[in-house]
Amino acid sequence: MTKKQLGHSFIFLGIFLILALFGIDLLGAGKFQGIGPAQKLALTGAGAIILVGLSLLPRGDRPA
Amino acid sequence: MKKSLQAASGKWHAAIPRLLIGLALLAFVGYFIVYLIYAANLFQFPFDYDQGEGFELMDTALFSLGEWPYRNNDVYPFYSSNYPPLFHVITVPLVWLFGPKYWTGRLVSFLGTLVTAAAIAYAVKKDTKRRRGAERRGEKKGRGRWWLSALTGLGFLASNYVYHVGPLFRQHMFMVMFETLAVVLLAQVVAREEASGRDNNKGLLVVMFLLLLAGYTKQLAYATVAAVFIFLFLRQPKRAVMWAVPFAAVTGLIFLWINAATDGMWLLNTVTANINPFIPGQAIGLFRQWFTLHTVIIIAAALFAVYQLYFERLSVYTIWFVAAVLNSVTAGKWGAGESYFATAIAASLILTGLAFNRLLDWSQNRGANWQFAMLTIIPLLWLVQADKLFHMPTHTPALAAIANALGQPTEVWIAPQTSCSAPRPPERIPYVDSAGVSLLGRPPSRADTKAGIAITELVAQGETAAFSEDAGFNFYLGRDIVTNPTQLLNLYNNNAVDLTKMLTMLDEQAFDTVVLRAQFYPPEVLNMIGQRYETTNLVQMNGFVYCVMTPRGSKSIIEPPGG
Repeated sequence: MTKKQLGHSFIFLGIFLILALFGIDLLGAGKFQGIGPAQKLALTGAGAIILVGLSLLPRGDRPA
Repeated sequence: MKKSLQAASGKWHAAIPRLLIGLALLAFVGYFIVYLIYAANLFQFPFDYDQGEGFELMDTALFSLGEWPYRNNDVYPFYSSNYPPLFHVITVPLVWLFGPKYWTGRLVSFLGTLVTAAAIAYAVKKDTKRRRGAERRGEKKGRGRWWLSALTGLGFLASNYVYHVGPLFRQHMFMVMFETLAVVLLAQVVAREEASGRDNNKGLLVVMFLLLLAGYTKQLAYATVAAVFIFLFLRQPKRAVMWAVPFAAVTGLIFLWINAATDGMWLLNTVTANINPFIPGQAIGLFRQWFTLHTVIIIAAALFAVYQLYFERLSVYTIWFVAAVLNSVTAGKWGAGESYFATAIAASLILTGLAFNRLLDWSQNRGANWQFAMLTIIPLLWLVQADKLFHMPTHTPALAAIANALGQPTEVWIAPQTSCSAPRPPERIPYVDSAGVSLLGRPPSRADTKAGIAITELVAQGETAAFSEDAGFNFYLGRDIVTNPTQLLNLYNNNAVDLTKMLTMLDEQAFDTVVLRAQFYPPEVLNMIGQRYETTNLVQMNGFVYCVMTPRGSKSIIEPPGG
């Protein structure tokens, strides 16, 4: 696997996490109205994962 | 004049790093001696020191009789285990030889921590040799920086968390041992494969076996299993899948076999009973404490992980470190604690050793001044880390004098833990720990042993086994081990236990004594105990006030031992 592919994997993982976090609300599992404190924390983490993924893209075809 | 100045400067360049390396080694050897003192004291203590030790001894005793500890909690003696079997099975021969003694499992766990420390040191030493070997191909092999390997290995034993839990009859550190061995071996196998261009399937098979052992020592090893397969996937995706399928199949088959052999009690007691509430405050507090205590090795490991992410290939150690840190969030579960960080500590120490190796190699190519700077800064960082980890029993004049000389306090004042009795004023405790007020870490004293014997004498005045939160008193008297309170509470919280028979027995005062320490039983059980039993004696042991209770209305008020 290359750094670029690793970057894409991180981006997909981050997007998946964000979708899953909002999916929890759709299923009615959250006990807070809107975005709860745990969700905020997890969203920040997911955002960070996406940023790390984006920053890996320029590393190109170097092995991961 | 200039030459003599240069000669003097050269001497200092050699002497200062040596002095600092010597001091760092002295500090960590000192921690190792402290660890030995604590372990030796614990081996001699014949009762529970940490909640749950006695139940792990019970699991071992059951295995020694060829019985499973995964049982129906609804019927007498209302006992079951919530842990996988391997640690207890390995301890069985000692129980066969010496009987169900607490020191057996404590010794096995303690030896496990020594193996882990050796594996950490080995990983760093191999990296030094490999790098030097690559740089000086054709020359004689590099000797390795033995002092750096020694510091990383000793650093593991110096961690407050490893110190607290290492010599206890708990399976956690044995799991960490298997995890560390698996990851270190994988790193060697892959390095050899890449150097020779040939697959080493036998080596990988041993790695898988060690992972299996880790998982069947404690469930928490799943994070290391994930780290290993992520690493394999990054290097050789097809091969990773080819190994993951049989690994999952073997793990699953063993799971199904144990579940079938125990009529489903394995699934109930090791999975359902481990679904505990998550306490965010507990997780955040433990993360803060972990970072405060292990700052140097965490920052060094994290920086090296970032460096690898962008500038070279990710090593298995980096992936393991990230997985272990993420998994440490589970320390916030009710019943979990600081020991959940032990895997992250092992991984961070290896990464720190590798990072410092790189810096020392880099400085060698930059000239004497850079080399001097690195050889000064690195041992200084180890000394800073040693200071942050400070913990020391001060129960002897020599240890108290050392703590005093290091500018540390020689005692702390802590109130005994009371749950079933009135609060008590703080008492002097001859143990100092930068982790803060801790019930673990202080070596048990002769007074603690006397207190334990006093409780057994109170239990012995009755004819039945005690309904006790600690197993030690019944073990001492050779009576049944009745209940595993935290297991019952976990099952109760998951609506997976029927307390009818237990409540009936308590209602009928079928037990001559009840011994409480932290009131971990389900509320209905505590309520029934409160209705049918009354406290007759309070005995303090290991910083806890135990309540010894007898049936209400009975005229046999227990006389204190010797009274």
